[in-house]
Amino acid sequence: MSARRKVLLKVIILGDSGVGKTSLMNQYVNKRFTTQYKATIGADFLTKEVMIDDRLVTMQIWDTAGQERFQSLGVAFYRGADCCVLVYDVTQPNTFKTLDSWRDEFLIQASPRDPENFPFVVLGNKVDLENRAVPTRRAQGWCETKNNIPYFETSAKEAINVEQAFQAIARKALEQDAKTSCDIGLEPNIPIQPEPAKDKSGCCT
Amino acid sequence: MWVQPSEVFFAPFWSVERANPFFSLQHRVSHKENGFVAKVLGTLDTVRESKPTPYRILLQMRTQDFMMSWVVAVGHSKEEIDYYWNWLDSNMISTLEAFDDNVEACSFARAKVESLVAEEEFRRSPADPEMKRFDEAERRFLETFKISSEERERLVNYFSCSHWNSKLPRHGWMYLTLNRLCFNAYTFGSELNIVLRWTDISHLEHTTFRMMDAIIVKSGKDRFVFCFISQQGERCFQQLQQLANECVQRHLKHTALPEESQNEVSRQTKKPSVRLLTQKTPIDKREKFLLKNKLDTKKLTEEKIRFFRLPKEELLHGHLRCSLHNPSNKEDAIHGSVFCFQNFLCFESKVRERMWIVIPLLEISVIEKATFSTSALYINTRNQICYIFDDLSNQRDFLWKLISDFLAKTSSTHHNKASVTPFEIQQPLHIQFPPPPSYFQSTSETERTLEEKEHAWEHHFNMYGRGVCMYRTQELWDLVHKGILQKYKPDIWMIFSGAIFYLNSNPGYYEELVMKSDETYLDSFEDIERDLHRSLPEHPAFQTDIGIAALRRVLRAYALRNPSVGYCQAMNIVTSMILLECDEIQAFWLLAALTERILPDYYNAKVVGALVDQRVFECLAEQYIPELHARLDSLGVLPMITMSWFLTIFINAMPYSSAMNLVDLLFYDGCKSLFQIGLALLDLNRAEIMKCTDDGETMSLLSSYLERITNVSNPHSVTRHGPGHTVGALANQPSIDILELIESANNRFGHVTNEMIEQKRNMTRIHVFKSLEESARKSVLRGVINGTLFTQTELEQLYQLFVDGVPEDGFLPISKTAGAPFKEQKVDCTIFCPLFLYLSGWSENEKSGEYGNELAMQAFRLLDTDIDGHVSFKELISLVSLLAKGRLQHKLVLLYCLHIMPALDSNGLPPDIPDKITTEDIDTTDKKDLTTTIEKEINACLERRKRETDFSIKFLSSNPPNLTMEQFFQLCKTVQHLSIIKEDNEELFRAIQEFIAGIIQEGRNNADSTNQQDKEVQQTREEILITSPAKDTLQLPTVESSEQSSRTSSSMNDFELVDATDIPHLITNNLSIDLEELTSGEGDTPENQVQPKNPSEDLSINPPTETQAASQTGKQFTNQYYLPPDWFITFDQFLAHFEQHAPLCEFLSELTIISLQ
Repeated sequence: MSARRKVLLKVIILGDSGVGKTSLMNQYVNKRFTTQYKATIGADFLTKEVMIDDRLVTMQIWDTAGQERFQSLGVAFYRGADCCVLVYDVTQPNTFKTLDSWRDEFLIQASPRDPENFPFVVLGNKVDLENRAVPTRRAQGWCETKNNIPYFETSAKEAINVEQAFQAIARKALEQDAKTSCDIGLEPNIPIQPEPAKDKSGCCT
Repeated sequence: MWVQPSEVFFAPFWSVERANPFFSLQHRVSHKENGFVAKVLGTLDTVRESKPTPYRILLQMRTQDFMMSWVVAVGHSKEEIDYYWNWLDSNMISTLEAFDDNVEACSFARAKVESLVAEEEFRRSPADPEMKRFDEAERRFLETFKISSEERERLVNYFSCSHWNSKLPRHGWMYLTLNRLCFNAYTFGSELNIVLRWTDISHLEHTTFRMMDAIIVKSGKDRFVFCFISQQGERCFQQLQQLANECVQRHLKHTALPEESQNEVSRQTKKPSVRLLTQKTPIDKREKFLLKNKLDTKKLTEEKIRFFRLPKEELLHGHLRCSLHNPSNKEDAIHGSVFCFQNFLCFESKVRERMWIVIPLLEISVIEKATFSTSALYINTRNQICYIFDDLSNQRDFLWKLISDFLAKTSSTHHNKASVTPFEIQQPLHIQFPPPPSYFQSTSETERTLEEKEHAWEHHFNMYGRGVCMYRTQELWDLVHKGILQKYKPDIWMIFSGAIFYLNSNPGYYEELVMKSDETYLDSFEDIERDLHRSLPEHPAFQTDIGIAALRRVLRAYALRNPSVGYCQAMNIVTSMILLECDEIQAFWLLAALTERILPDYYNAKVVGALVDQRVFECLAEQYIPELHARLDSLGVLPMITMSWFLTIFINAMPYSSAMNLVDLLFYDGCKSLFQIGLALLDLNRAEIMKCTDDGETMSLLSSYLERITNVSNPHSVTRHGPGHTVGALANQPSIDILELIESANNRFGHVTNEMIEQKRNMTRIHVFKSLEESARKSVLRGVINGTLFTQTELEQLYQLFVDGVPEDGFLPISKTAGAPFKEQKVDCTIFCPLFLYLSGWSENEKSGEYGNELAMQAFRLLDTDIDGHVSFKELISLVSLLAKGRLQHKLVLLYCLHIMPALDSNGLPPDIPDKITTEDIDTTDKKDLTTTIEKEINACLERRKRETDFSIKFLSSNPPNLTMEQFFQLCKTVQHLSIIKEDNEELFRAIQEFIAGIIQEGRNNADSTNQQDKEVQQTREEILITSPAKDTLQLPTVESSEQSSRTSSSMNDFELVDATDIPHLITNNLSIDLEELTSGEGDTPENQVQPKNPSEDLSINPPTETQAASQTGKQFTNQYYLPPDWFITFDQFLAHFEQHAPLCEFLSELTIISLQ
């Protein structure tokens, strides 16, 4: 296993405008939070090296524009994604409702090989706020109907659950990466993880 | 029409229709007829431009030895020629017969016709030959493609060309109209017609094909090659492009109605139209101005308006060559052209951008004919700028008169309204939030450069004037490219973006919008609010409410001005940048200039404009830096990185103080500066980019480069922003001066012009439009595939049909679907109904065509669950899928549900506006209460359904309300009409009769039992006369009670006057008579299909003749036989009865839509 190729995992963060995509990414990568972000136009990315089960992988996290009219631009960014993170704001029910269309749109534009089993992770952000409006059960329910998407509740501001969520995302992505490299005939360089995200220990309640 | 008599000698292709001793009426052998001659003639006709008129009248002179003939009248139609023939017959023949000598008679006749011709010509305005030819072509076009005038398809231009199909060319004519491209070729009996809508075209290319000038048109999978002889190809291509683009833009602007565009065009030319002033011919009063000229006019006007940054509504009156004296050097005359607009006088030098001026006519104070030359003119403006135009030759007087007329009209109107604003207008934010004092530790060197700069600017202003009317020179261009001094920024931005004209002509407009925005609420306000603090957070002005409030006002006002754009992210960033330098009114108009003119459609739905420019940028990159482009293309980086460049004018990508210089350029130079800078950025990083191995690396490279771009002369910059990729590492890398970047962009890519970009935009707009449509299609299809019984291919066909509409006579209608572009398309009832009939096969069956329409309306309402007057594809599919593939059970539910709608009122007429089944509609009927009750019920029912996502079970899961008698009769009618499709099926017919009879009995039982239960209804029963059968259905029992009542089915009520067992016969008789009437009326159905089954029928019932017969029958019937007014049946009863009749079930399950190949 010495000739392992360098693993680059591409993760796409999607969700409505203002749910905190940029903040989550920055909290995870740079461990800081600020209110001074500009609205993301087009897309931007950060990279982070992570250890997953003794393997060093590079995560390339893509942050996208949230306004609906930018949706059609996705096709350029989604190419070769290993995992898609859907973010909503727990204080804004509308941002939860649109998850469906974000997921659909992603699947249409990225057209992965096996759309049914493409890894998604859902994050309910801003749990630090008082005026929560989307109950955990509702979000979990939705995730279950969509082929058991792992669900996390996070706060980019307070750094709640961000690390755990991205760990799970990395695992999912790695799993997917292994699958796709198998498909294209590369040597399977990592053992496929035995269902790592099944347990919902990472989820807060 | 009468024609100048001309002699004819030989007439092989004409056959005589009528004749008398003097005249003969002939018609030309048409290529539509059979026979060799006809074919030869047809071929000749298509090749020749002018086709002889098909009818003519000859004057014939017979003497003993010879015969001579003259054409005296021609006609395009039988009617036309008959008119002349009859005129001759009644006015001439008797006179001619009075002549003794045949020769004399003929010469009289010729003279008479000549005078008639003269008279006719006098009445008509003189038509130039080109007009005539065009008329001819238009007629030929309309004839060939059988376009009814109703369709209002107007010919724009026509070209002779040949179409290459596989190996053979077919010569013919290409016709361009506002909506379509048509081609017709006719060679020896085989005709080829091509009709493409502009919206179908996905690709246009001008190229060479087998050494010939050719245009390639792609539409879907089809590819057409048209070849041109002579130089027509280029011209044709331009026109194709223009028309296709107009069409796309119409779609974008959401005004897809062709009439509107025609109006737009004609409005433009109603005023004096563009032409060279040197042209001698005055614009005559001819109403009919060639459409193609209008389009040419429009094109030139648009081009010049863009160049001079004038308001979009401006009209170009004309242009003429002249020269302008250079104020810095009296000896120097700059050659160019002067353009007269409605409100502006503009000059453009022949040498590109050497000098140009824009003078609002209102600014002119003095206009004088120069004394030193006969062709020179002085013009002076209010702020004392003087121009000397020379070399006007003989046009000087004309120009002088034009301008002085204008001034005479408007001299006194110089509005100076000082309106009181209800809120404080925010002044440029940089005044209130100056850079921290630490920045002023500037060295003496920077101070000196600033001073030098200011001096240079002042010098230019002194020499060339200041304000709108200033001479716009190459020197100014140099100055701007070095960065506009802060104090001049607002003026220069306003003047060169053209925003100043809008501001001046709309005083108080912004303030009004701001006031309005306090009272109104738009969805986009929420988006605005969310982004206010995410605009330019690094600047102190936007860390306080002062900047935020101004930004909010401007963005909201703009959203109100332009609802189709509303608010798009990136507008906040650009606006906050402008607010730093300008007051908020200026900022508003600058934002408008950006979104409406400089960066068109950028912030539109789906940011179409930015997508177009991305493609344009890639085209340019491919052209100028091919190697680099190939590399970037393989990495797939460009589309990712350029989006933010274009949308935010690089503000998101580089420090804003550096981006500020690019904003200067953008307002001064137009969009080309963005492209030049973009290309330069790539070019400067060439070596590094070539080394990159993946997209991420390239993006990091470019973003870190951009972040290092600083503005040395304006050190207000060091603040960092955004997620830094290389935070920390930046300090070690050298910074790049923005001015160097600008200079390098000019040197390397200065030849990229705005015109070039505009042309490329036109080329790519269609592609972008098509690909967005494609992705919308995909997502709509994906949205329905899971809930339907159709296969993917079937769905695709259906979608195409849905979007295209039902073809009429082989012509696809101009797409009229509504809905935001590139979102789910919707159709209203005028499109839905034909579609429904087409799909259900109803249109094939003419006998019940009219009734089909009614049913289609019902279906429309059933589907229009959100009552917005439109049906989406998803909604349509839910119906069609049941029709085509549903099980019997599903179809029955559908059949039932189609009739619970409150639709057909007593007149049998569906309300006109289906989307508004509100009280206004109901008022027109006499059953207001009933309708509202049902309305409520239906709405509740619809509400319920709306919540259910899986629509294929939508109809099943709902619990439909009961049917009233009238509704049931309607249903019977539907079944009857459906059964006509199946001819000669007596068994089926009997089953229908029995079914109806059964139901009627059941309904009566229902009513009785309800009545028995409810004693209060007793009174109603005593009222023997029923005014309207439906009125009393007010006491419509609830579902629960009816179910109970149906269980407690009671005995016959003694109160009825007719034996209940007769009723089924009577009603079926009625219906069958009705049916017979219908079928025999049409004539071609066997009479015996419908036979009255009961010999003892009551003939006193007159068979109704109208299509709404059934409902009338029902009413008549009720009136005569006193069916209980509260007659009703439940859904379960309906089902149970229906399923008892095997032939009926069989029939319904077989019934399917037929037109899916």
